[in-house]
Amino acid sequence: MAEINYTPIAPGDATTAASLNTPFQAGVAGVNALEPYALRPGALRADHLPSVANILGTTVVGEDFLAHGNYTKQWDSLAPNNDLTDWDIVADSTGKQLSLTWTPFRLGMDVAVHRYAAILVLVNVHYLSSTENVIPTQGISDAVISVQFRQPGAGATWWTLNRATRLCSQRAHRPTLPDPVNERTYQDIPIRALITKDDLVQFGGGGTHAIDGVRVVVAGNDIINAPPVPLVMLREGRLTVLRIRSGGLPT
Amino acid sequence: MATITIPNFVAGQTTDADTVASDFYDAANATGSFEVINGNLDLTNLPTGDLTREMIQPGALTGAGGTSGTANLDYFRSLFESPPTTAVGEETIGPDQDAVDDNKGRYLAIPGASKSFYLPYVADAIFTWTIMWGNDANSPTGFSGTLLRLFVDGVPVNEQVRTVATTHFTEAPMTTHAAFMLQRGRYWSGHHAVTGLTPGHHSVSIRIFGAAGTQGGPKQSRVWARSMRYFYFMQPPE
Repeated sequence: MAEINYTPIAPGDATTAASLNTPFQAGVAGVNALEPYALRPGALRADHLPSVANILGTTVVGEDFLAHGNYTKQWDSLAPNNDLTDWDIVADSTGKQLSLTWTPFRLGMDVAVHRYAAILVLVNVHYLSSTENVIPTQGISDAVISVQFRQPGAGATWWTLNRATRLCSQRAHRPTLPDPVNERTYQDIPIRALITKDDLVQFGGGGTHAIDGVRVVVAGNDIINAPPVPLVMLREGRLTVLRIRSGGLPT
Repeated sequence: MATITIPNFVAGQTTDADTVASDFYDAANATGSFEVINGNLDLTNLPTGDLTREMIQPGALTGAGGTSGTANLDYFRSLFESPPTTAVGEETIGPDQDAVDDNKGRYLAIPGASKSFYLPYVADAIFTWTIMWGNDANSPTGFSGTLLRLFVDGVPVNEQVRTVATTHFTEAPMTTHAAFMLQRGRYWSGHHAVTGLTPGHHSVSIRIFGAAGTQGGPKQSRVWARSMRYFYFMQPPE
C-alpha cells in the first residue's frame, strides 16, 4: 500500500485512541510497504537514502621521504604466491606496513547477510629502483608489486590478487653503475582493483564471503639471470580502501 | 532495518506531547518514528521489486568530474616570486617540509591538473591524477630545485609532493648536462582520499614551485598535465 490516506484531526474533534492511531498507522503502513510504482524517476534523493560508499581507511608509509625500504624476495610467477612465500610487505624504516585490517564483513548482494557489494582498493607506490650488484644491469630486473587480501573464513590466509600484480621495469639509464642515487627512476606505480564476492569464492572463502584486510606486497624479478635477487627500493606507499554498500542497490 | 513501528495509543492513556512528537520525528528513535523517511529507507520498505537507479535522482548519492590537458606547459624561473634559498638535497624533500606554509602562496596551479567542484552534501572524496614533467637545470646531482605538490582547498598536503629532476645529463663526450635523457622524465599517478568534506565549493590542484636551492635553479620545467579527477560519495550528516 503505497498511498497514504491521512484524515486530519480537526479542532473540536472528540479524540479517541482509534482516532489518533488511525492516521499514524496509515502513515506507517505506507512507508513500510512502498510500491515500486510509487517511486517516480528521481524521486529518491540524498535526504531519503543511506550512503552507497564510504572510505574504510587510508594509510601511508614512508611519508617523510627520508628513508626507503629495501626488499630482496624473489618473485616466482609460477608459484601460488600467497602469504609471504615470495613477497615482502611494503613497509617503511619504522616498520609501519602498508596494510589495512578491519572487523570482518561480507561481500555480496544478498541483503539478508551482506552489507557491502565490493571494496575498491587504490594503491600508489613510489618506486626508486631494482638493481643487482652485478655489471651490467641493463634493464633485466623488475620490481613486482601486488595486492593481497585476507579472508578470516579461509584459514586467515593472505591471498594474492593476481590481476593487481604490476611489473615495473628497472629503467636505470646508466647501467654500469648499480643503483647510483642519481639514476633511480622515481616512478609512481598505481594499482586500482575492485574485490568482490567472486574473488573470495575463487580462493575458498565462498562459505562466508568475509574479508578483513588488504595489504601491499613487493618482490624482485630477474627475467634473465639466476640469483642474486634484485634489490628493490621503494619510498612512499599509499593504500586506500573504499567500501561499496549493497542493500540499497538492485539485487 | 528501516521498518517503522509506532505504538498505538491506548484508551484512557494520558496524552503526552513528547510521545506524539517522537512519533513524528525523533532521530534517536530510529525505527519508532517517521524520521526513517529522512535517509533510512531501504529495501525493507519495498516488499516487492527493487530500488533501481531510475528511482534515484542523478547525482543524489555520488558525483564525479575531472579535467585534463594536452599542451606543453613551460615554467621558467622568473615565474616564481622570491624563491627561498633553502638548500634541498638531491631528490630529497624532507628538509623543505617545514617551509611549505611559508611557500604555499608561491605555488602555481597547473592547468589540466587543477579543478574546482561543488558538493551538495557531506561527502567522502577521492582524487586521482596523472602528470609528467622534465627539467633542464644544470644540476650535478639531478634535483632541479622545483617541486610539485597536491593542494586541497588551497592547503598543501605535506606528504603528497614530488621533486622535479633535471632531465638533462652529463654524458661523454658531451658536458654540462647537454644530453637529454628521456628516462629521467618523471610521472606521478597519485591518489588522495578525504573524508567528511563539507557541502559547498572545493578545489583540488597539483601546483608547481621553483625553489632556487643550490642546484643551479630551475631554468625551465616542462609539465604535461594529463588528468585530475575527483569522485565523491554522499555521507549522512553527523
